[in-house]
Amino acid sequence: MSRFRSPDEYASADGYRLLPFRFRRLPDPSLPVLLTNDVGEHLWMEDPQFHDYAGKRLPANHPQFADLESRHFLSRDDQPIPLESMALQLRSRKAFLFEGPALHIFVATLRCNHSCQYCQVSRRVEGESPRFDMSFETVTRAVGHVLASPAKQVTVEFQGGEPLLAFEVIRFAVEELERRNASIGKTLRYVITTVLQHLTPERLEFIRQHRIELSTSFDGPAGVHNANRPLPSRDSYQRTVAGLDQAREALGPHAVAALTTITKKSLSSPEAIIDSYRELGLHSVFLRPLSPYGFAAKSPQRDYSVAEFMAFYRKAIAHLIQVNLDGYAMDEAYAALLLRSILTPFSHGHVDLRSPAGAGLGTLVYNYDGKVYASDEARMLAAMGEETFCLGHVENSYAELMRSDAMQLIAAGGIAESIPGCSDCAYLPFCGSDPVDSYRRQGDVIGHRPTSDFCERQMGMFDLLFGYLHRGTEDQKRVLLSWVTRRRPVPLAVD
Amino acid sequence: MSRVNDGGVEIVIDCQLFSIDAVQRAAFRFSDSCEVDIERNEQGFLVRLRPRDGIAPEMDRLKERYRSTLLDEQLREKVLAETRHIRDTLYTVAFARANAPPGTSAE
Repeated sequence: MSRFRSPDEYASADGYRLLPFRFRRLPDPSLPVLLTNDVGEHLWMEDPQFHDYAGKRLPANHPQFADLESRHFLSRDDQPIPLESMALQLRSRKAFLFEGPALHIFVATLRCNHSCQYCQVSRRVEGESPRFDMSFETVTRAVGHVLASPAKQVTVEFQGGEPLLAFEVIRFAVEELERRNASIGKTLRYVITTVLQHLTPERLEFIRQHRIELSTSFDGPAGVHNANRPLPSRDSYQRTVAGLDQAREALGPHAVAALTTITKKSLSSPEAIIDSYRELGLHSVFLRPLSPYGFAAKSPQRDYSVAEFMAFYRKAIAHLIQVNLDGYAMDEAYAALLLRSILTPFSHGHVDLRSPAGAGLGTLVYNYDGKVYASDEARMLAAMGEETFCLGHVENSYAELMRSDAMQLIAAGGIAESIPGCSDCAYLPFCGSDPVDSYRRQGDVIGHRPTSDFCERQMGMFDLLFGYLHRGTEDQKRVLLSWVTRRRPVPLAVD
Repeated sequence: MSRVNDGGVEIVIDCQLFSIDAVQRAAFRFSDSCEVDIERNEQGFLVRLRPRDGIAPEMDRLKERYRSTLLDEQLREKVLAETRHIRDTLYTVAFARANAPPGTSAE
């Protein structure tokens, strides 16, 4: 007689209830069915077992039963539904709701020395009148809004134009924020989005003292970068690299983050773009598709399909994984934030990919002229003559801005859980809604998901990443996990 | 039952087996590549899918995809009906005290 009982004896005689879930069949028909739920869990099931589970015929001794139970896809009839622990998970994933706007963008100036084809904002030339700079009075009022918002940890980002052309605006804003925050105690983080071509030792010292982070656009090899970001002197690449070196020397090797905007010219060079980042010692690349705003809306460089972008992106991710396996740690920032949402209990924190939307609820943009917008895209839309998402002016109170008609509109289209095409999408727990983007692309804040470029791209990225997570080699999965944990991946294979 | 008509396909759906909601939801998923028309007649729901220029799959494949999608939509409808109250309760429990900081109990 066996000393152990048969597993069947441990099977519950009782049945189970289904807990809410969504599912998706990925384009690769050889993959199992992907199940997800509101609390951010996921698992895979082969089709026959999936139908057994959904039909409540799965026996309690099935190998996946315990997983389904622990991940809140089912609850035994003889047990209470674990609502408290599920609610805690849900609250953690939606923690941003309790903070209010935590990203405050100051458009310090519209002036810029570049004339990029794909510029997404209305720009003014470098030497033009300082009336395109933010006034100190506007800065003072905007600082009041930053400090009035509920978030305890706040990021203040300086944008342009080229914000370093209005460095005194940045200096005044930072000093004003720190003076007035002394009695409030928020944690303030600063970022300057810059082409790195107007740094001086004095400015770098101020940046160092106030721990300001730098973010730049770097479009890859010199030929691609100079074509995308033209200067009369045709040396934007050389100038940005010189600024990168200057910033690193003064601030340390990790002082600058970079993103690349993907133009039609970039599409043929995924590997070269990534290799150029590696050559410069950068450890993260953000492969950002062009958005339909500002000059970018008219640019011939924007003329590519989501399918073309995804073909580029797939090659880029495959090459990046190999770069990591070769011993150089580098992530793709957007994939990293999606993976963080998939593989951890927390939200990725990205304001463009939240539900409820990040526009206004997570971000406020103070334009140089004092107008307040719900997002950077809302500001870009205004530069095209469409003021729909202007919340008001810095002279309005924080409460007035939050109660504006624009915020009502955003709330109407900003909850993915209620939007056709999103509400039953398996990727909903990791994705979000961007009503400003829907309005721009499709004419209303809800939009039509089956024909949405945004949705098609998101689906493609999730399909790609979930495909790697399920079918990838152990080495590939280890690299993707390192992007979440920000640890250097260790290849499994040892020579 | 289905047939090809005017460059598209017509699919008759038994209204005893499938709800109009499932039929519409399945059709919605094809609205990127097809013009969609839904009627009800004595045979059931008549779904017409007419591919837009040059981007639709082959007709037989289109019918097969619609039928598979419809089955999935019917399953989603069943799961939603069975679990909607749990989801509603979950969101109520999670956010009933909206001012409470995350990570705390939401009783």
